[in-house]
Amino acid sequence: MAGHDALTPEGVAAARGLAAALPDLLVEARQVAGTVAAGWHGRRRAGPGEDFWQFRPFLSGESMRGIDWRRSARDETLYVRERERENAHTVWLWVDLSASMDFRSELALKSKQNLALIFALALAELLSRAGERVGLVGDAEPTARRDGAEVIAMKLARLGAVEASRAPIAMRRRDDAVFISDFLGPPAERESLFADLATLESRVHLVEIADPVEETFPFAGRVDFIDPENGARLTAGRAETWHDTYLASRTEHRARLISACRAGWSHTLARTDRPATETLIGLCGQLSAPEGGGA
Amino acid sequence: MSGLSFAAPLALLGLLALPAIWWLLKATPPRPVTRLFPPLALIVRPKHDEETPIRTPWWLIALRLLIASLIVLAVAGPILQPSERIVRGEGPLWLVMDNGASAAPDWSERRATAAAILTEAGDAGRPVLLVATADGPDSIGAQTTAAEAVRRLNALSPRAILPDRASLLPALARLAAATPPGEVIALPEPGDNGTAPDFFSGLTRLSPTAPVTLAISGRPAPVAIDSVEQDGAAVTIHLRRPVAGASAEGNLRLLDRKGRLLDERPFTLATNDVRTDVRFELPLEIRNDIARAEVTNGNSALGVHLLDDRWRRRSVAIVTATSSDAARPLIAPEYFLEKALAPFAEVTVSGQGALSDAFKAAIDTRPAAILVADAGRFSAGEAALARAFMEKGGVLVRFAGPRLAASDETQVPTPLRRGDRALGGSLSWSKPQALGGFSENGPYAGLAVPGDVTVNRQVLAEPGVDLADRTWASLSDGTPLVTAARTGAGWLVLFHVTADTRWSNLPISGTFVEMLRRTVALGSAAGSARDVGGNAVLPPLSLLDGYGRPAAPTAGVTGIREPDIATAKPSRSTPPGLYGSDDGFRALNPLKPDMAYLPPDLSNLPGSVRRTGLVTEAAIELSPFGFGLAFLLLLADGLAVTALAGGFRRRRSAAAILMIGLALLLTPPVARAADDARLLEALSATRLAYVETGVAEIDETSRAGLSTLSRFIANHSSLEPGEPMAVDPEHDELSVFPLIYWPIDAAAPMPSAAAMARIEAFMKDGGTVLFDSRDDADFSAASPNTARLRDMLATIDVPPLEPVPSNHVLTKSFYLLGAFVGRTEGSPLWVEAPDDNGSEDTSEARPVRAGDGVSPLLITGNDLAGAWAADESGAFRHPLVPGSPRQREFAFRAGLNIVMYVLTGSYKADQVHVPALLERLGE
Repeated sequence: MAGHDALTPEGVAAARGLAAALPDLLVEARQVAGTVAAGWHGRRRAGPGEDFWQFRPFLSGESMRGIDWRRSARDETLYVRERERENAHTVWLWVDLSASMDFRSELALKSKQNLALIFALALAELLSRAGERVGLVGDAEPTARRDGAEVIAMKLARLGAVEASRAPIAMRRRDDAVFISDFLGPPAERESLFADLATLESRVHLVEIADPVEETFPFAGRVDFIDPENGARLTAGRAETWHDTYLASRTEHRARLISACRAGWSHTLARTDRPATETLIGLCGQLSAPEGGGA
Repeated sequence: MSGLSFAAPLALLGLLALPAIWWLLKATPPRPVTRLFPPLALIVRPKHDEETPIRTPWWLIALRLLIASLIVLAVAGPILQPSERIVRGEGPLWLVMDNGASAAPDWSERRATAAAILTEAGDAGRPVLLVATADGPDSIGAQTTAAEAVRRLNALSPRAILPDRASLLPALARLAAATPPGEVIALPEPGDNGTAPDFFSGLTRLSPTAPVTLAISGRPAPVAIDSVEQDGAAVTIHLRRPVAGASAEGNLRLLDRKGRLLDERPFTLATNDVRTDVRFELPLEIRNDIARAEVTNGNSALGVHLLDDRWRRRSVAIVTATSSDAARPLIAPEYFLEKALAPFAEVTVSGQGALSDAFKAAIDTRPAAILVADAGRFSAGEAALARAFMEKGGVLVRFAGPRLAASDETQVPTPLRRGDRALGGSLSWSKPQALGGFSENGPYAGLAVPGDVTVNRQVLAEPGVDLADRTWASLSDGTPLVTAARTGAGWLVLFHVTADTRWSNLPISGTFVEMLRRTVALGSAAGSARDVGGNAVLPPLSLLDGYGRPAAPTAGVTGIREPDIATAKPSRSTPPGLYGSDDGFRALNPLKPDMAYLPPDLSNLPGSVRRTGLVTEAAIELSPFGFGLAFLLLLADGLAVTALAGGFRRRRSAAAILMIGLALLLTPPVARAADDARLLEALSATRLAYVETGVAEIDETSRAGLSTLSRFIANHSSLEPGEPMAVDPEHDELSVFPLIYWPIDAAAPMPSAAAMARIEAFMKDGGTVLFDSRDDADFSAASPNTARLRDMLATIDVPPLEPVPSNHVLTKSFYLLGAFVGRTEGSPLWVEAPDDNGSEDTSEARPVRAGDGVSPLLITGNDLAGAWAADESGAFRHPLVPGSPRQREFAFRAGLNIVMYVLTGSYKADQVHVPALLERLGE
């Protein structure tokens, strides 16, 4: 899953391509986010926290400590200062930008990488609109700015492909994490990352991006397969005879991925021939689901 | 038996592989479709992977099989042999090749035949003996490999002699006893000197088992020049050929020593003629120049006849009696004689002394004729000298005169009366006599009788019985004017009048010249020609090769003693040619009248001897065609595969491929017609021109720069140049431009030598080329652009150069300038250095170089056009380096100065003197 070194010409070219694609993706991500936001209410509600949220009239029976005397002195009623509910759950995003993601078959609407970026940016937009803090794996600090999508886009363009084998240092307990990838990389890294995250008690949402070709294996005849990641070749004499074994192998791979999920984690399959909104709504549901169970 | 043969027939076994190839083609899977597939690791290779069978159409398989079989066939080396095969035996092959003069016309076919025979023998690994009959028995070596024999064959050339084959047989017989031949092939030539029958029947006896083949050319023997004769008025060339056959036509021509054509006449040998004569009627002076007669395009030494200096201009001596005539040279007899003889003879005048001394001196020059003007009676010694001279074939021509008339001379053709006869005059009733006629027997026969020749006075012959026979010309009253008598091999001729105009006006008549010419022609040059070397051996001077071309003497050629040359026969050691030195030489001709020139008599050969023709057409090797066709078919196969794989699905790429193919096939020659309109436009105004480098940016800078400079010049001076034009030194007419700006770019292609030659011509014709290396580098320094410039200039004539000195007219031709800056200002401007290097005068007295011409080339590195170039809105295109104030202005001034210098030349140099001149005039 090694991305390009940013100092090599290939790395520069890849970063440039990414940077050029990001503004469009940002627009698309906003549209997607706009569609989804109508059905998803953020966490803007009063609760324990540091920041001022609103004044409300004092209700009898409440603790007197909540009264804001300065405000109450201005008129006849007593007011209580409510603070905004503090969200301890920063959401960390991680987008797989490795070579295997830069793939689009004839059947797909967009490349896997673009879809992954759209998810990431749309999530960033939604979360930042909701006042959540959004962090990027590989980056030092999460951002709490309202224009989180732009910030994340700029960080993505700057960071490029980042490997995720350990949890971010700035990640705190119970932070949420969204991993968007095709999960075709080395399983050992993934296992250690998941173990790391499990110790942090974070909720992890895996978004598996898949090209329809990868799902259906629609090949026939003599086909020379090339792995974009390492250039490995495999020549199939009659590809149609390989169909069943491949699908079985793929199912097994997915099962292993899902089985790696701890309780409370989620796994979402996003196909590049499906609209992004569809998956995003499901994902938002996962994110806003109350913390459950054993976490 | 013409047909196809194979150099490597075993390679045809490769055709057996065709079924295997077919099976392989069927079994080989098609080219896989390449697909990117990220989850490659998830693919599990099935245990029994099947291969997709080929779906190749049958015609593609057929095409591929055709390619394979073509390659196999081509490797086998097919040879198409159009004519009959000559070689048939086994064992050592003896190839007896005639290389005499009659083999020369078709020597290339003979050699090709021999080469084919040798190659075939070499392919069979047979040893070979190559015998060249005209090279003699010494040249017969041992049997060699065919390759070596082919090398020797290539060095063989026909000789100018007919081979003496008799001497070869013993040597061949000895060799045959040691290493008997397995097969004998002979290529007899069509001309023979009588040695052929014995030789060829001897060949059949060399080995009882060896088959003998004669490869006889169908070409008839060349027509030979037997001899060349000249009589009084014409040259006759006798031609002959060995055997009567089809009628032969051709041309004969006469050449002088320098090879210039004197005359050419056609000849025809009728069907049954063996000999014919060709007569050339030529003026004597031309006849004298003949050095060589040849059958035009005969291509054989036999058709060449060389003439030595016995044919040279006759030398004629004039002997005068006294020295008194020298006082009035323009009316002296010798003067008239000299003038009359000069057109056709070399004249020496001996005189100024006693008659006998003069006579001896004249004889020493070995003239063909001696003319004696009015001498009295010869002394006994003189008479003996004269008689000896005439005995050897000389002509003694005497003229009458007062002295002869007064003497009782006996050295005259016919006895004379004492005294002379006067016709006309104040004391005579008779009238001057006209010329009556020429004797039919004499050499003057046929001359037109002029009506204006009159004779006032003459000496009279005593009448006699033989007077009429001895008279060559007579007056109208019948008295002889010219009498002659045969004396030995020569003639004694008497003109009964003086050689000057005292007695008649004959000496100033044109008839006199013709009479003298015919008289002198009687003199035998053979008897009087200079000895070449006495008894000495004459070295070879210029020999003939088998084709009749002059050749240098080779080793083994001996000289010939002069007395023997008349009887010498051409041979290997004495080939035909010229012998002697440039001053005097003798010719030995390939054929003499007494030499045999026969067809080779092959009638008595045994019947087992096979006769074939020459290999007229070379064998055609078909391998290259096979390989070429296979290659083309491979290309077709590639196209077909591409089409099958859907490579042409995209129409644009198909169109592109089609275009590339068409371009490759039909790359049309770039026809660049002379563009008259362009030339007219160039001429319509004075224009600056620039050379296009092919680099768009530089060319645009040049155009814009010159355009802006032209506007600047129009604004500041009375010169209004037109828009600049781009020129291509390869094609365009350059002479219409005064100045060509040539930016140098090392990346641009090097101009061709022809282009540089045109540039050189342009500079020689007064044009100026301004080379700009544009890199701020001094021309003397090394930079890629200056290196390129030096490379370009290396091919043309470049005058010595120097940086513009401060007193050069360039610095003053319009503005006063110190330096010639452009976009940069580091490089000096180089101009032609004046050639008066030593006397450079830099003093104040001569402020400007008096250079008359304009320097044909100027070299700078300051990128002048870069400084001038501005776009349509007037904004300059390039910033200046270092950008000092007014640098742009000075760049334009430099341009204006250069243009003014080119257009006005040294006018400005003179202009600076005007104030001084005015001052001197007193203004």
